[in-house]
Amino acid sequence: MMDGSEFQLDHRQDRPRFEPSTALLLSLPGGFLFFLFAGPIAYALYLGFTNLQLIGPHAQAWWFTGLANPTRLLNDAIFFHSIKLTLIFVVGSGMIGQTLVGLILALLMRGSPAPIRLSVGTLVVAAWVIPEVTAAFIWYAFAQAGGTLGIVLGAPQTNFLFSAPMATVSAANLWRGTAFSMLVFSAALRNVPAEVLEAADVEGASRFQRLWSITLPLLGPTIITNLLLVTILNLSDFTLIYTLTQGGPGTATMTLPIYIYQEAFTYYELGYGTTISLVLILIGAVLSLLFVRKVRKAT
Amino acid sequence: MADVQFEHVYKLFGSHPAVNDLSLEIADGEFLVLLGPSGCGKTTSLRMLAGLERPTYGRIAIGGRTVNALPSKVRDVAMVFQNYALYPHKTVRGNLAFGMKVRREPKAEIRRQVKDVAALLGIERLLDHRPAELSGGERQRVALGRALLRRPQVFLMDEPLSNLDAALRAQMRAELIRLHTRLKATIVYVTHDQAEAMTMATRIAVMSNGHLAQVGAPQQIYDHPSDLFVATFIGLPKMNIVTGQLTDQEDAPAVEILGLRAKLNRATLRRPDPGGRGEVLVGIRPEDVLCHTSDPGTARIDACVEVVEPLGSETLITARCNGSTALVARVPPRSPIAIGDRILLGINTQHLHLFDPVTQQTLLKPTRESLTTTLRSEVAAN
Amino acid sequence: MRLFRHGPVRPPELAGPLIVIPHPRISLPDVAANVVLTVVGVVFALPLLWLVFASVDKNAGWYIRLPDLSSENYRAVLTAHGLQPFVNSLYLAAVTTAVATVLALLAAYPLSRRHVPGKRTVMLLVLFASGLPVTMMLVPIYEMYAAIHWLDSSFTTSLFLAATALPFAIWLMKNYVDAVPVELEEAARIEGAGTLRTLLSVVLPLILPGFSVTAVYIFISAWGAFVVPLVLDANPDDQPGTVAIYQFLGAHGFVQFGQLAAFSLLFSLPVVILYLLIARSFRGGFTFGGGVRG
Repeated sequence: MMDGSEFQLDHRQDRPRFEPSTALLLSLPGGFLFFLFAGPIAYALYLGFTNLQLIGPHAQAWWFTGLANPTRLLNDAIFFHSIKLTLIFVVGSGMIGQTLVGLILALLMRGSPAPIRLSVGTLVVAAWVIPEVTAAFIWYAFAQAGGTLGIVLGAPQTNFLFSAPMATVSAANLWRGTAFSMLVFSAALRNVPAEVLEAADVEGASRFQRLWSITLPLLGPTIITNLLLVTILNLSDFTLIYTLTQGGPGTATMTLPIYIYQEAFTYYELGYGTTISLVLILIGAVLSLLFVRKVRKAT
Repeated sequence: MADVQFEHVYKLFGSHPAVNDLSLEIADGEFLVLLGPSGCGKTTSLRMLAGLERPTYGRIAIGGRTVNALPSKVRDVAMVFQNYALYPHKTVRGNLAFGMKVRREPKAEIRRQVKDVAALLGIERLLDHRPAELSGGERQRVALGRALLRRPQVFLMDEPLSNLDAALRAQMRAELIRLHTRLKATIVYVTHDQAEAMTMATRIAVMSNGHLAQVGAPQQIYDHPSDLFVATFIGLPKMNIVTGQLTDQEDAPAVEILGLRAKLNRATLRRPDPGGRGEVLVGIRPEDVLCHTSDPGTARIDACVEVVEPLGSETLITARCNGSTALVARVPPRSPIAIGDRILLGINTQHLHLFDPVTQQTLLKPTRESLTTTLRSEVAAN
Repeated sequence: MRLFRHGPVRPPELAGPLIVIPHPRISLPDVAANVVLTVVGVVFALPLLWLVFASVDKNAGWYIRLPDLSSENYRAVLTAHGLQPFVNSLYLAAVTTAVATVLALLAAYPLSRRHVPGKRTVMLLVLFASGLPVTMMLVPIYEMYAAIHWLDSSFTTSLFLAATALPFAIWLMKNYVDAVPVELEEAARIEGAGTLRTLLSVVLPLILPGFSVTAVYIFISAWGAFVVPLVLDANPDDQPGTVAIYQFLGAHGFVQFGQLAAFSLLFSLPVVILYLLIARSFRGGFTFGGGVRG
């Protein structure tokens, strides 16, 4: 052996090792995420139990207040009202609205001639692609007294943002977000093997039976994943509702994100606002966890 | 150019040994072929040599230098991959020049050498095309050119011809041999095709299940396979294997097969495993099965022709002997033999191979002496 | 998915080859489906139609009406003052995209190829993080930024946007890197290329479509960012288009709808164009042509 050293023939050499270049590559994004992503979340866990204010006596002199904020939360009628509204929004507009309409559209478009399919598809997606403020602005005009919504529904002098705020906001959200579910389901439907459907046809199944017994069950996992995603997306929606109603009139559309913003930046209660945020984080984390478990099972 | 050594190399994937105690020395300038069926560990061994896998145990050396801990780029090897691994987004020129650019060689030099290699391989007109536009053979040449430009100590080739059609393969084989002679390069070549191995190698290393079964020059391995696996793997059509009985008559060992009796030269024979009942496996290559339809006086086996395969340059016949064993024989082309014919077969006992039925090892000592002295026929009393 | 029904069986006494031309039956459910689709299409189109009409309407109102065609609104918007929000949005989106895509690539490559202790957990954590809503981090990030004097700056705002986009971007990019055949990197390795060289010369060119899709996705999200710049950057000169639109609406009761419509339409245009670009490139597909057999 010309290299002169003692080579151990029975020493295991191929244990996977963490190379320095790997560490280098991961350090920049890792540090970034740690500081700007994990940082705020960790900070929130502390802030939520303080009496910090943006402006006011506790802006400079603030401290840890233990369970004061959670207690206040549990006695906060608006908070529970806000949760209720959030639920209505997420379940009604999101889960039922966007997912269902998206599914129906995807199913209908399957057997449709290209011109109809393409044009309807484009329109639905266009509503989704434009910036959320633009969508909000359009619906703002739409729902005003004398606006198109009133004309179409035969009540031209109604300002729907005043008379039916949750409904209007939900409709706007439905208009805007259906495209996502539609695209997801279209892709999933394309993956349904044609032979299975043809076999059902040959066996004499009606269109409805085929849909109910074959297509929908095959789509099951996709439906569940989509429901989770839609819920996650809609849960934190701020821009649309805030632009349309700022949570009003009064507290009629004050979902959790809007409530957080109001408490923290309108009433300057940063500490309390964070406490509410923690609730939102918790809900979001649970949903995200469910989503991850679904993905993990699939892979 | 450099020599290569594998010293007690193992590679375990989980608990499965893909390479199981490989010890092999490859001389400078040799064209060594690692031959074996899929899963035998030949590609893994090559990849360990390239530095793409780390061995679990053992030492690998190139040019006397232990390379286990060295990354691929300093090992000074070049590899031609089975699937070519050409950069699809670069032109042929870009593919060829990449390595030299990485090594920061001067532009003029790169241009010159790329041109030379392209000329050598006949791909000059393809220099500005992308891999997607090339045929399989052309891509393979680019992959080869890329390896040549590396000017390595050792060339590593992983089944480079397996994706080419038969005619192209034969042509490329000849080119590789010519290249080897010209460059006096050390080449380690992996293949499962025994014809490729036989035609190109200076030595063949036959592997099976992670083990090295036998290493030697092509003809050597062909004539003196060390075990049943090597014997049946090398040579197309496969060697005929027949069960025979060893006897000791007049104090001279002999073997009885198919009703014939061949005397064996004691000097070349090892005693079989005492556990056996004197049963041996006898290997007869198809060219050693002689087909006489006439000519009395020498030992004969009665056989009935089952399959006739005319290859043009010769014909292969499969005949069933004494109603039980089938033998494949080579006969001259245009022989007037048809299915169903009864023919008489003889055996050239100069090249009988004997194997222990239990260990499957050869029972012959590795010498060149001819094995049998006479062949006598004896009608077995059935 | 409709089965074609053939015509009646041909009587056997007629000779010669039988050519049957199947004709599709137009069924009632199909017609109904298409009618429903068309209605849905119209419903979705109405709001968009209003936007387009109002933008070219000299006297736009809340409702859809045939416009008094005029380019007055656009002209008003395209003055220097009107363009500033566009520039701000562009800056915000560009910086966010640049930072997020580069960092995502740096993270995705080792996560795809190298040994990382606890890799599966890390990837699941990344996926988990991409599902967390941004609004819940608003208050703490505001406080953090206030503490280190990072408020009221476009640059630092886009850094936070990049951080929130990063988990999903890493997830996307990792999947694209996974699809590159390892042999190409092995070949580059043998030729002496180091990690960075391999990443830039071999991997990046081959994931360019996926990289572009990720970049466009981040750009579109950042272009539409509203609450983050609203909270983190109170500097009126830094106002992106989203906040500008909101200010317009919230400021007074009576709004110049035509102008706002024109502004909104223009503001939506870049994002729509980008979306069209990546949608087409998806259809084009990408194969590692010739690089690897099969």
